[in-house]
Amino acid sequence: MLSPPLSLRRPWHASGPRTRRGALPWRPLLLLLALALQALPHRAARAAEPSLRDLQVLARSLGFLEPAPRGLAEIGIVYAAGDSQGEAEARRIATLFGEGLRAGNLQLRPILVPLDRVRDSRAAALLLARSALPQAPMVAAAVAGRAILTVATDRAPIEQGLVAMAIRSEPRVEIVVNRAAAQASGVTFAAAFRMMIQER
Amino acid sequence: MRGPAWIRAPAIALPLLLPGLAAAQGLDRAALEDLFGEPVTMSATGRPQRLSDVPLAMDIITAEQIRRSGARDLPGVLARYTSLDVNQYDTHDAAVGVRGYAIPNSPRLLVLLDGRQVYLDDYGRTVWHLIPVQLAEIRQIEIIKGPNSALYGFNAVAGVINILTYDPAYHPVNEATLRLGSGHGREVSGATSARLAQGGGIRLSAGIRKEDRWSRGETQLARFYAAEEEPSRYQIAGTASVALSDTVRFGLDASYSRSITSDYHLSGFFLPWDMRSWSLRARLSATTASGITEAALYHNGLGSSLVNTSGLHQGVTVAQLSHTMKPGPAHTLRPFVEYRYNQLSAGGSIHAPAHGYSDPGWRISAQIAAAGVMWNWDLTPGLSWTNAVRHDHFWLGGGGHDAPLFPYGATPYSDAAYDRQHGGSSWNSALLWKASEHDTFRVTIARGFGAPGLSDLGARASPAAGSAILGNPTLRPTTVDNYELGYRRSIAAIEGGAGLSLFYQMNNNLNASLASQVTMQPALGTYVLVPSNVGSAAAYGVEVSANGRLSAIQDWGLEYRMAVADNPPAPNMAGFGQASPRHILALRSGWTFEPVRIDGFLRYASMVSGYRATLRSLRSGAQADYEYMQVENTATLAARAAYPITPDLLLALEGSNLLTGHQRQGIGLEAERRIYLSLTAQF
Repeated sequence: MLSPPLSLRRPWHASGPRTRRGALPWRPLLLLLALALQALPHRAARAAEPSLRDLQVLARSLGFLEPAPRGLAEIGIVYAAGDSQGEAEARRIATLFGEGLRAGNLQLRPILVPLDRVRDSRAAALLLARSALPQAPMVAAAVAGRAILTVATDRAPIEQGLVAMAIRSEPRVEIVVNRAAAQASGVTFAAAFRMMIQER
Repeated sequence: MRGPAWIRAPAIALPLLLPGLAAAQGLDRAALEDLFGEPVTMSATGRPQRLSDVPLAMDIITAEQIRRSGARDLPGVLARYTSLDVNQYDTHDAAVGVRGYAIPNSPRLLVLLDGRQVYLDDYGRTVWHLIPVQLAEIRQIEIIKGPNSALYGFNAVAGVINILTYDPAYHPVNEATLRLGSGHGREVSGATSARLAQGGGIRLSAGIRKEDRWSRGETQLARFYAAEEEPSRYQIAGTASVALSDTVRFGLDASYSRSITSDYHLSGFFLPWDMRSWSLRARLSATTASGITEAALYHNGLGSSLVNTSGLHQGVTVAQLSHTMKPGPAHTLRPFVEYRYNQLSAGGSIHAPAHGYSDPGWRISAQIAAAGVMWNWDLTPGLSWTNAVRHDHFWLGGGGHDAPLFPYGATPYSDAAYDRQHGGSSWNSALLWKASEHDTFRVTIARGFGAPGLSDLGARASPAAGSAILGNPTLRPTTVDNYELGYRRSIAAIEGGAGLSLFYQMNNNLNASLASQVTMQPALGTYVLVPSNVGSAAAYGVEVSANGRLSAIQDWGLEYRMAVADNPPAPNMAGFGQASPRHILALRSGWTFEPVRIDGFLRYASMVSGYRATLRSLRSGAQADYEYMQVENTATLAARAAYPITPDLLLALEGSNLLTGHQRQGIGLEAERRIYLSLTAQF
């Protein structure tokens, strides 16, 4: 076990070569700061099922695509075919869209897309439900060069370059774009938008 | 492409001049704010940023807050939502400062309207009532505390206030306000907008305001110089923004403003001004594959008349070009260049044919070329490092200084003395660490660079009462070295957050301007005031802010600032160290009792003091002849209650200085309670 720093073992008022009169006790202050930071909540490593707020962030982000989709557009909720839990999750997500999620002059209408139908999709964007994440490489290959934005609420696929964009709305809006993945899928974002998000 | 030829031509030419222009769009702030759920700014580093990502101490006052403030002018809004120094001298006249040293006509704060300088270079001042903007058309007021000369150039040494109006292409404003109140206060103001073809928009705004000055607390000198006319201002402005193509946007704005007031000046007296300002600006922006290119060309003109002098004319022409790019996922660069030509002149005011003398007048000019770059490096997802550096080079020029100063004789500064040049660099470096989703730490070091006002460099005056005034071409720029630690935390439990900043700054070569010590000039045989550098002074302090909600119907905010400001060593009458309160506390709370909205603003300021000129001190300049004014701790209350008569018609009762009928809050006049009734219609 490590012994505490010397300055912590000495009384604060003690005189001696290690504590000058009037000087701030930097070492214990730094130690306290480090302990306080350890106690602070850290970023969640795993994303939960997308919330309505997440979907609003997604819809608004589409407005910064170049060219931006306008009017009525489809967003595919990608899930693993044959996975009943995955399909149920995709349906829950689709329900959040209601009659269509509006963002500016865009109205997003959800459609369910099983993994084996991704190649046929003509959606403006594909949101990967959790059951589809293990097959993210297959989705990336399917949308290559087709100007379809792939999105996840999990961070891992974006770090691996398997989706173009990751979103999260709580506790603050965080948007991460993987440049290589976006380029591979033929997706371009407005410069102002790129300057306000994280890129990989 | 459709549209008239004069629009089509530059749209076609620009992509040829700037290769690589691809798909582009303007900066739709509303869309970005909807997306990120917080204010968006470009004022901190020149790149679009969320407020929580800004590496500087910064406040943003939103349009909603401006409306709820019940204030009828910009200093009133600032006093209610910030801990800035707002030293109010009269009902319409205020000096605003950041972290101390808020002397009258302070050249330390750069004020911009949509990025255009409205700070006046003549005396190095901001005349708030001359700024051609109506509160209804303001989208947000962005306040940067601490030097940011590296981005904006000289005079952003204490901070920057950028007043942003709505872009008519994205957000039309159609609103009119009628305001009547005590002190014969009456105001009519409004703005109207229209959509233009191809995603464009235009807005016109205008306002007229008149009211009585505060009635108590004048010195004998103030009565001697007082303006006969009541303070009044007249403003009109227009702005238009159009898309020249999918890649390029063009903007044009123009304004005219006239203000007849008595304003407080160094070294402690009111001067009656009749000021007219106008501006014309063209802007071009393009979002390219590599980033955002922005160009602007504008001219600000100022004509002002002052008792016992001929008119002063000042003009500044500014050309700016920048390109903001993100060459890699972790790096953002913004190189920029700027050129400006600035001139202040005065016609001859004294003509004495019997003595064979005719005053030729004088002029002072400054050409400035500047270049710089901002570099932001995202070291890790939670750690970013932002740096900016800028160099300004000045070429001074003067005319009319060879003539003798009637009736005294030749002055020490001839035209040749103005043939000089100098340069100065400024820089910012800031580390921003997002330690968690809720906690952000900031470390900033910066150097600001402040040039003297043109009047301080080149004025010549032999007023009827008082000593002669000679501008000083050897004045050195003021530099401010600032060191700062900041912490910000969002707190879900209060539906808000809190912030803390600690700062230390060293102000070098402070300029006492017209509060410099008056000395006897044997060669001229009279007392002469020559603006002088008076040495260095340190300031340190802390700023605390917090905001949140107490319930579904009540929100609150708190701003506290402590600034301990030293005095420079050389004698002067500016009273730098005591010009601002050491402690400022601004508390606000708002309640919604549908459909009524009530807001209250309590502000506490600790003691300030300063020197007020007398007829005797104007002649001698001796400290003993000044009136020393000490103002005790003050608390003030402002409030607003609003009731919507219909969805488009709002009735509001607004009051300022509500605690007492008359109260000494500063070294100018005694503040008066004023109550207004306003009717605002949206159409």
